[in-house]
Amino acid sequence: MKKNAGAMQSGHTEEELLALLCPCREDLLRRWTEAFHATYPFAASGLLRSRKDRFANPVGFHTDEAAKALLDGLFSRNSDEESLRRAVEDIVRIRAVQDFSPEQAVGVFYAIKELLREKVMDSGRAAHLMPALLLMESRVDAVILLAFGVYARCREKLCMQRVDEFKRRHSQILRLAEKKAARTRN
Amino acid sequence: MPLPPDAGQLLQDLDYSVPRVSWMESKAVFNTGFFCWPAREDTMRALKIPAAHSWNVTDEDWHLPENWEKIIHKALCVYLEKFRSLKIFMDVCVRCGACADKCHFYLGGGDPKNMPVLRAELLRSVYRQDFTLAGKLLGKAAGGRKLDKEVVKEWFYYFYQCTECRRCALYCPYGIDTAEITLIVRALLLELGLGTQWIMEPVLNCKRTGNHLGIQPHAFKEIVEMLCDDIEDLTGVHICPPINEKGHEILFIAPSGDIFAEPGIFTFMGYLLLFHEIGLDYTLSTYASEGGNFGSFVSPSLMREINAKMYAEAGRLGVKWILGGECGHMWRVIHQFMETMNGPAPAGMITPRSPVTGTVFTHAANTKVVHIAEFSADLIRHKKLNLDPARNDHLVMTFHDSCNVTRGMGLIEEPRYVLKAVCNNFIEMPENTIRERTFCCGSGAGLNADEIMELRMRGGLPRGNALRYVQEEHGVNAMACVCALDRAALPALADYWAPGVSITGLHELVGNALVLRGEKKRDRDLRGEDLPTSAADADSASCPDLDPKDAGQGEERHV
Ligand code: SF4
Ligand code: SF4
Repeated sequence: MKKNAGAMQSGHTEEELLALLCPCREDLLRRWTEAFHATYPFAASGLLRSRKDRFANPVGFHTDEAAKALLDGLFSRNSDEESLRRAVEDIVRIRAVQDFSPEQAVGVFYAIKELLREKVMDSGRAAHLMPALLLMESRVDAVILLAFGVYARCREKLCMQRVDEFKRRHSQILRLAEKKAARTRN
Repeated sequence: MPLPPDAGQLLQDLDYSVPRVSWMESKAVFNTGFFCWPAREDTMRALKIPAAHSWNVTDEDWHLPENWEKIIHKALCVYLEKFRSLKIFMDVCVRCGACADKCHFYLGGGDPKNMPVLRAELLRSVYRQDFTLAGKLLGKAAGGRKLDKEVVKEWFYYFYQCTECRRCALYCPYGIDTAEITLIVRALLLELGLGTQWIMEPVLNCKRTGNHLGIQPHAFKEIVEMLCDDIEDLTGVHICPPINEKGHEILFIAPSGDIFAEPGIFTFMGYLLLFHEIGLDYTLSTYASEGGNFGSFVSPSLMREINAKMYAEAGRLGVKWILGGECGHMWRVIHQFMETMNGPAPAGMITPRSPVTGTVFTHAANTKVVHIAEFSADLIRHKKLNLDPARNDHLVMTFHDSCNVTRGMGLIEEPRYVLKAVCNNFIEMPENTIRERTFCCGSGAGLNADEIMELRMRGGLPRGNALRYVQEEHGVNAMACVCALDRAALPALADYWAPGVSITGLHELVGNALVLRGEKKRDRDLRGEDLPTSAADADSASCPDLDPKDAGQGEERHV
């Protein structure tokens, strides 16, 4: 997430925006993960929220990780892009094989925008903070674009796996057929 | 089409109230990627399924036979009568929920009907309504519901989203085995002519030609010869295994995936190398060229028919006992059902005894079948193999416990014992994902069809998640297993969840490490890939004096 020209002008408001948002980190985290959980059937949300073991509750774990990484990415100047990328990949790879349309699988990331706007609007300094908020939203967009790419690649992989599996399953029959064909040719 | 929700709506839609529609009223929604293609009419006719007919999963009308309710009731009556366990499973569930979050499909997807308790309830509710007094009198108030065509569809959807892995049974205080319930419901569906092509075709093939893929005897023989050519090319050792020969001591039966498919063939090459090295007196068979048993996924009677070929062939060839390859459901059937279904073993068969070590496998006194992992572990224990585990040094191994042999027959330590003797680097996956608590590959019980790749990957998430963890934390780059279905399904799982991890059978690793008498300098492994060190030749072999206690000098670290 490279800084663009707008960043230069809004440098100080960015500081102020972060000063406003950082104390709300836990609240944002909680509400954004809730938005994720709400995309699953009601019966599953209890498990997703409550089981903390990463192996007994992989979906819940990776949702939490993605939310944390995204907020760190938005709130920290020197965020670790690699961990953000990994966290987004991990959760989107999961959502790509669940009961979601592509829009649902990736679209849930957008919820963070509404949460950020809410905080800014309620601060009483909305007009002042707007340039910095727009910048932050652009960074959210970049993450969503990343998620979209991961989703597309996952779906592509599923298709390729069907082909690869067919080849593996019939490998010796195909080999035998080729061998016989070569014998007849010679 | 309406636009997807925007950021604001996403948050407004948050709703944590109990859904208005109860599970009994909600219908199954059939999404592509989550159901198998239906069995073809000609396949079903050839298998003499009475209600064989043509139908489509996504059609409204499944063309059930006219008296379909009666058919189900009658069949369910028979099964309740015949299998006391089924009746108990129907009656004793207290809905404690201990099993609810143990199923990999539920963990991977969150659909409540994939909770084992609710999956079983799909049948139990019908049972209550029609087979219990309370249900007859009180109906829904007593947890009963009427059997209708939507229920049949729901059964087809959800009982083909169960891999009969029995993880749920492990956690149930009453030992309720959802796998058995799944088997019975699939059998009920068969009575209505509803099955999947992925399962029924292999069943038919198995009956016609001896194996799932329908390979005929001459082609079977040619493929085995082709693999022997590969062995000679890689090791310099010439092997010509007997096929269909009478008068040998042992009949060896492997899953056919080990003979026809990658990466199973490398495991098969490992078996042949081992037998050659110890001078085993054995034969292969084309009639019993399939250890696997797709019948066991759908019907007790088809399971029996397919399994019967083992004893029939053992009797015909006059062998003393049977050695079984690395397979999952083959062993589930042998261990749990064979003796009662098709026993006793033919006269002339004896309690298996290793011709090399003299060990008598008394636990197989009734079935007369020994698992190759037990057989090899015994050879290693008695220092009968010359092994050079350094040949597998490029691999950082982990081990996937296949559900059927782990929970179905308790084969847990033997494969690890062998693995540690043939590899120097071995890392266990986290404790709550291995041994009895192992997570399924997500493709068992006839669900390894490619049309349900999404479902399989979802079901494979808990396994993939644990694999990814040891890959990232410990550099694991290969996972071994003792199941042909795993060898077929796990490469896709690993490629999706932990790209870069390869899948091997146990005896592929044995074949690589085994120092053969008269071998040429081994510079390639059984896949034809370069071995890690050129020093891996007979002279540097280290194992003849292996201390049994550390059959496995292999390092093991728990995470
Ligand atoms: S653990 Fe056993 S008794 Fe409890 S809900 Fe599950 S099946 Fe029923
Ligand atoms: S047997 Fe396995 S797949 Fe079936 S319900 Fe139980 S845990 Fe799930």
